[in-house]
Amino acid sequence: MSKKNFDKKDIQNLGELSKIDLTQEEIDKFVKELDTIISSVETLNDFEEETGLEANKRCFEKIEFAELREDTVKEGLSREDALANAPYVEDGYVKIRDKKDD
Amino acid sequence: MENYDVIIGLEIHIQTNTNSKMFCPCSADYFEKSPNTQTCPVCLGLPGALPVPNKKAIEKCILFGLATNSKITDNIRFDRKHYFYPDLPKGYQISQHDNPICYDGYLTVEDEEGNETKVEIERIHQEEDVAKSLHIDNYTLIDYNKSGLALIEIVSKPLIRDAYVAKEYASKIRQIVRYLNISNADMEKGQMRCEPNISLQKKGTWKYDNGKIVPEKGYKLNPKVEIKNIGSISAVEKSIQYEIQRMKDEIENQGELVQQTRGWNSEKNTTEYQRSKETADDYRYFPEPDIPVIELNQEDIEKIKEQLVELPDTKVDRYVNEYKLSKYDAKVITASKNNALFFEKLLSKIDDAKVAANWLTGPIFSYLNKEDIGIDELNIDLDDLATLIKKVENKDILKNKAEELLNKSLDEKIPLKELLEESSGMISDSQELESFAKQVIEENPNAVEDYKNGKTNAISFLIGQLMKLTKGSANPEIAKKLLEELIKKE
Repeated sequence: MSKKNFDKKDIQNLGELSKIDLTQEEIDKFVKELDTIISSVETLNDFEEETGLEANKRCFEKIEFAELREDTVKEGLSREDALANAPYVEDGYVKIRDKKDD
Repeated sequence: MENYDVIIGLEIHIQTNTNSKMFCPCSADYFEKSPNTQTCPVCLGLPGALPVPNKKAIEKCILFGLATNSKITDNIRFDRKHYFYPDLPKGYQISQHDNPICYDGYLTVEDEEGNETKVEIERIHQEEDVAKSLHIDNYTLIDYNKSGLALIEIVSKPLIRDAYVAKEYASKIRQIVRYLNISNADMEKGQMRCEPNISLQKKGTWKYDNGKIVPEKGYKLNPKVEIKNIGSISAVEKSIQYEIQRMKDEIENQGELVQQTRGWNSEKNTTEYQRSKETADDYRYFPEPDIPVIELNQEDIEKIKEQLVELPDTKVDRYVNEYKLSKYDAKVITASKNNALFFEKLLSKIDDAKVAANWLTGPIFSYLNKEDIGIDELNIDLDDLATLIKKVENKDILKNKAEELLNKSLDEKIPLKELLEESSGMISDSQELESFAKQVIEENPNAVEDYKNGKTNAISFLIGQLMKLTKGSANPEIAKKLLEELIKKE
């Protein structure tokens, strides 16, 4: 994998995609940190060679079409369980505050 | 404005009518269900939940591909399409990026002049629907029952040149998915969604290259507009027409075109600005690691092919060539599969296509329109209907009288058979009709006089009067003969 150096624009873009407001100081800080993070992650590329173990390649595994799930319905969660983690609920719906600038 | 080309592409989403959702076994029948009662960890995007693809949904996607002359991939792969919105709890939609299940297809439609034209399909891919959002003042309510429903996206090449063809194409797609029982494709319920994108480009400044409109060297393309909120097939045409005119006006007024999304307002028949798109979407696609590659072999495809039925275009050709129907009638009858099946069943009983077509497009369609119901809701025994039609053909009963019986049977839910038995049929007996004929002659001296003076069409009036007296049951030919004889004798 080629090394990429992150600049302020990349960080700003990542902030927008993650819906996080970043201050100028934070942007400067992340420019440095992200390069370090990425190079740490890149050590994973050496995983197989160094450990002799095989990485999880599930997404390159193959299954046959006939093995796919049949179209039958199964009961899921009760509404109570489904909404248990929602901070705000109204009439059985999850309630979400709109962002002003949306 | 003649030096501009209109460029239209159409993205159509179809909600597949499977029992369960795309990647989990929750019920897909969400319409009018209490909110958030049909969910599970998968469609709520809870951590650790694993998606398992629905075979039936993919079968239906492939079936549609086969019906639109598309190529089918042999390795089905899914990708994650990332964006952040409350209706998408995982933070990504499972979709397909560069490897759609079906690609390079086409449909043939007629343009406004009646000439056949091909609309090319770039890709048909499988994805999942998002949750339903209800926007209220300054907050939003979310119902996850719809989250994760199987959704097919059909992307045309951006080579549609006018609004009429775009409408015909959308209409044909709806017809095909209904014929193949892929979806009910009710646009009002959101089971089918059309999103046209339109741009005007100066002639000679652009070319089509590998799925995209690209500028010729040294030119810059005009930005395109995407239209949302289209709730009917006719709105596809109207909204595109409106948008083309709006862009032309902008260009003529030297205004700058902005890449934007606009919403169709069906009450005002206009499009309204929703948002501008200054930056390209950044969905950060990557392969969905939780779903293995699905191998599709020829045997699988052959099995799916068995579900193909005769499609509307083929039916129209057959009706015209084999049954000698007019193209117009053939199209009207095949507009829906149920109508076509009704016609074919009726035809098998009376063996005269023209007659069957006339009964269907005449009295039966007008009854369906009047009641606003589909032919599958029509409560009629086809054998009885065939008997009725044969009686008319054999001149045992008048057509008007027969239609009256048919309507009465449908309206009052009396079996047609009973009504047929009750109605004594046509009076063909001269002696029986003679007294009625005499009465008509007595009561209408002027018409009789006219007839005697050579106004031969006065006889039609007299026959009409006789029909009235006999409540339509007189045999018109006998009646005519009888009246003529009696007047001569006078």
